[in-house]
Amino acid sequence: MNCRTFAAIVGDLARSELMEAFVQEEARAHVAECVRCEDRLGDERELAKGLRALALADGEKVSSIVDEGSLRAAFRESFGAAPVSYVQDANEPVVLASRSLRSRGVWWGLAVAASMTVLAGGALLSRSPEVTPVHTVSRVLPTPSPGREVGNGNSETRRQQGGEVGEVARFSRERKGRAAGLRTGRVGRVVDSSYVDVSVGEFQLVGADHEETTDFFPMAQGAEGGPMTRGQLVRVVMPRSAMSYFGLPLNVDRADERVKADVLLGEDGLARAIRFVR
Amino acid sequence: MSDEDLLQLMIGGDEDAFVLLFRKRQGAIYRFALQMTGSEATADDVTQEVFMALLRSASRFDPSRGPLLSFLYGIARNQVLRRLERDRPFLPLDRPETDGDEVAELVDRRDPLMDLTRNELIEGVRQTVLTLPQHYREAVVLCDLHEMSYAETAEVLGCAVGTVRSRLHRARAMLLERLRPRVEADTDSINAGVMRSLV
Repeated sequence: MNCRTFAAIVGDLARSELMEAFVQEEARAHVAECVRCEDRLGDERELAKGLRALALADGEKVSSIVDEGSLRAAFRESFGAAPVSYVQDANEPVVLASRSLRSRGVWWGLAVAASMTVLAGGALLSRSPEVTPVHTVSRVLPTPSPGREVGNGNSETRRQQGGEVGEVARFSRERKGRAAGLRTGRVGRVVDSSYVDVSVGEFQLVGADHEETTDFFPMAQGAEGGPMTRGQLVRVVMPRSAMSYFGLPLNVDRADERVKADVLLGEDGLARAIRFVR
Repeated sequence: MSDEDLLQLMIGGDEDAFVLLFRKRQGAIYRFALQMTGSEATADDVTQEVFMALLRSASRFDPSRGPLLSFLYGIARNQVLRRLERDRPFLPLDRPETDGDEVAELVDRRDPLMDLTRNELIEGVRQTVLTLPQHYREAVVLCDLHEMSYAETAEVLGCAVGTVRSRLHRARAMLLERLRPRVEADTDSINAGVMRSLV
């Protein structure tokens, strides 16, 4: 090894950086013979010590001006804080457009996990013979489309303005005592007993006997998929604190309580929207 | 939870994830900006701007190119360079001809960093780092002060690993040169003193 080669690695050598053993041996042998390179190595070690001291001295320094409040405000401005409605144009697919479509609560994971709990309860409730329509969702289709309907007498059609045919369906819920579980959600044209056709239109909640719901909040996963054509409504139970992620006011004293919610799952299994139920 | 997990939650609208990410990484970004500019006010501005930029461009992060921290450093670097460029008339960014007069005073004649109190040592090194040209300074700050690897530094700087090594080598040489005692001046003054005593 010569002085030039040594100069190229002296920095790593001084800092005990990883290097091949034979290179290290040659460097040490050279230092034993060359006073100038020995001094250079010593200088590099001192410099490394000085830089480490500087790094340590600065180690705990943080910004004293930037505060979390302003960042939170900026976050809400970027991602939005208010619930939004579906696309208003009946001729457009339901894209669950919103002011902050890109991100609206990624609680699908919780929803899925919680839904496992509730579906089990729903399965029990499903055995109850009592059927009480407690919620009706009216939906207008711009054009009629042929399809297989599940005939259980819970759907009806009506003619709308402009000659378009729409369909009003009902959620039928089985009720047992105070508990209520969603058996089947049918909105618009029913294609399958477990799926709903949500291709177009404007959702409107019409009355409720004992339950009230919020509007649907679009979810971030839904933004990744295209317009929704079919979906499934799943009743879940989740911590009440989840409501704050959708801009809803939260009573912190009740944050640990559970709240019911309906999660709208697309055909692809992505959670498209959620609404809270009281 | 990793930075990348927090970022995904943040993209999904999780405000707390964003705040957690800020708490976790704002120190490193602040220190980088401070060590590059020497100004606390600028470092505050850069830190704020980095996380605001993250809000705007979170979806542009590509985990295959490196960790999120490198991405944040990259944003911070751009912010720092912008400010250095703007404030150029007021900062000695590039002084190839300098003999480091103002920093040599901090240096012991025999040993570059001996006989200084710890604070003097630290401040001396800090000020000397600030005298380095920007390309060399950022290599020292990232590799020596933030202990990033050559590969991580290359990712932040957008250059090859070999370039990082080369700049670092040159930067360290410049630091030593500026911290090293001015032997010739000392010898002259010693000689003059000896001559006076003989007269």
